[in-house]
Amino acid sequence: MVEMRADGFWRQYSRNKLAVFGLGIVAGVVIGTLCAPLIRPGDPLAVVGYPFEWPGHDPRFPLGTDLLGRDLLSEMLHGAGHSLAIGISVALGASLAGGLIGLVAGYYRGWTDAILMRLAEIFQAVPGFLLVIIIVALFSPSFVTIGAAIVAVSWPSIARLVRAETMRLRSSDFVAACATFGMSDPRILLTQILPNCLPPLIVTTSVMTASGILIEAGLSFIGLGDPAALSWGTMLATGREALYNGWYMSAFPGVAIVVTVIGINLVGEGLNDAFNPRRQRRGG
Amino acid sequence: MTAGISDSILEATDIRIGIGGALPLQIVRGVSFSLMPGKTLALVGESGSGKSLMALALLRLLPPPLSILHGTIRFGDIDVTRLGTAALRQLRGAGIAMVFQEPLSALNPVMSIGRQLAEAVRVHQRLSRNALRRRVLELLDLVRLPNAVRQIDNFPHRLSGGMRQRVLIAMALAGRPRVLIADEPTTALDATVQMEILDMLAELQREFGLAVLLISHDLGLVADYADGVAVMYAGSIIEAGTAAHVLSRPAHPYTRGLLGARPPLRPASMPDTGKRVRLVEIPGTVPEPGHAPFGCAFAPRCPHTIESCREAPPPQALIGDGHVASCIRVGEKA
Repeated sequence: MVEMRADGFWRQYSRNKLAVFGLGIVAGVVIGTLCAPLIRPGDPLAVVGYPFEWPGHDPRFPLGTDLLGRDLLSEMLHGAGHSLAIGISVALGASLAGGLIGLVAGYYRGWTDAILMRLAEIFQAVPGFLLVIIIVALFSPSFVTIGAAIVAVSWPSIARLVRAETMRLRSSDFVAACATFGMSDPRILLTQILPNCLPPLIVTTSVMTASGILIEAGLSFIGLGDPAALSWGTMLATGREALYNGWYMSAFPGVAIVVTVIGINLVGEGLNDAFNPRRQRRGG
Repeated sequence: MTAGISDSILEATDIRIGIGGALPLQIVRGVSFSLMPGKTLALVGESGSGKSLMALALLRLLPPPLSILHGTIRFGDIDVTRLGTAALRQLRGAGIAMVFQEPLSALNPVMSIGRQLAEAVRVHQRLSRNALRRRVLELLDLVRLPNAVRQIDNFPHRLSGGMRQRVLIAMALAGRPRVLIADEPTTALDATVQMEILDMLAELQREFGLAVLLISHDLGLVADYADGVAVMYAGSIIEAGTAAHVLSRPAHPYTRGLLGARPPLRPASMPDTGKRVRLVEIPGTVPEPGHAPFGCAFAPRCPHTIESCREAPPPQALIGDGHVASCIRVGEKA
């Protein structure tokens, strides 16, 4: 098992140079988001200049303006927050729901397990993106409904992962030993089994953040996103209308999404390597 | 055993363990024993004899589909077989605690030993942070873990086998139990560490009046540390009595076989005479759990089998001073 010491962990993680690179990307995006009000104060959706101002044309707008004359840099910085927030909330929500269900199903087995896993299969049997579209279409799109819809399609994979780990751990001696000390089931699950499930759970959660960002961008792109929100996805959707004479409007958010998602996935892979040193590839 | 029933702290009567239902299967077939405070009873037998199941049954922790089919377990005034979930949790740890065989796998690999010990304490006691830490150190001191203050933040894989077993015993003692079940507590350890751990256990036992159920296959340990011995074969106790009596005058052919299959027992005080004896193995193998032959389960492997051995389960014969053996030929072949 892995010893979770910060210094040793970082040494393992930093062996994978790509993972360090990914962490740099993620850190950059997060810092950009946090500094948005400093770099570009004011409403990012305010019309501040001429429309279709190409990047570099007007020094006030390093990334140009969109088809309404809004500052693209400001939109990029402020929109990042929404994309990240949705990705992180979805990952946390799915880990919480899936983790809890997986723990209970794996520990109690029998009927509990059968019912919970059939439920998971129902969600897994329908293509995820389609299910998200249906859920969002049924309710009015907002941060909460979109987040909940993505959680609804994401939790089963986490539940399965945690369930498998729990089933392996519940028959281990240390769980049996805790039972002989009179420890209650919830306490065994939370203090003994859950910490042992954390490495794969953390890896999956990080990857799920990336897929949450992608799904939200996809939804916004086809016009099902939250119309009031500003995210990289809604920027893509707006830019789509000017794809021929102003492709840069879609290119910036598009590239930002791709780079961020790759960054997060690299971090996920790095975490995986750091948690499982044996599976580590040489060089990396 | 020898003392009266009323002084015992734990008493099992005619325990039968197996799978119930349409096709019942009995693995432990009517085991009775009693434990005295401050005394050690050794439950001896080969693997598959049902001795570990017996231990789990005392805590009502048999893995399904196994269950206690029959019999009573009395702890003090409590009938353990009738306890509900909450009362059982109270019993486990605070009444009866258990030490496992393999100390590495019995410790959580991702938790420091101090935290694990604190968790075990917290099951039965609400304590402030400082009091909890003091109690943890006190327990580690009790099991004489060297450098306890420094070890407290260490993870199990950093400790030696003996140290791990000490931590595990400390965890078992966390709830101040009155009965300690030690399931092969030293089998995974070096011989010298074995002695240290067992000496420490014996000392703890004297200090707290702990009753110990020592589950072992090692008759040498039993001779040195147990007051009473119960020998199990194929789910039944086939011979029981005081350790001195049973080991010096074994009555059942199986017990004799076990003793014959190991170098002669020699108390540490007696010098090695240099005499070498050829060790004799017991022919055949233990019957599969739940498939013991009718009559005397040992009959197929016994050198003294006669026709009537296979006809009915042998009754217990009293040999003297609480020493009993389940063999119909006990009287003749002495």
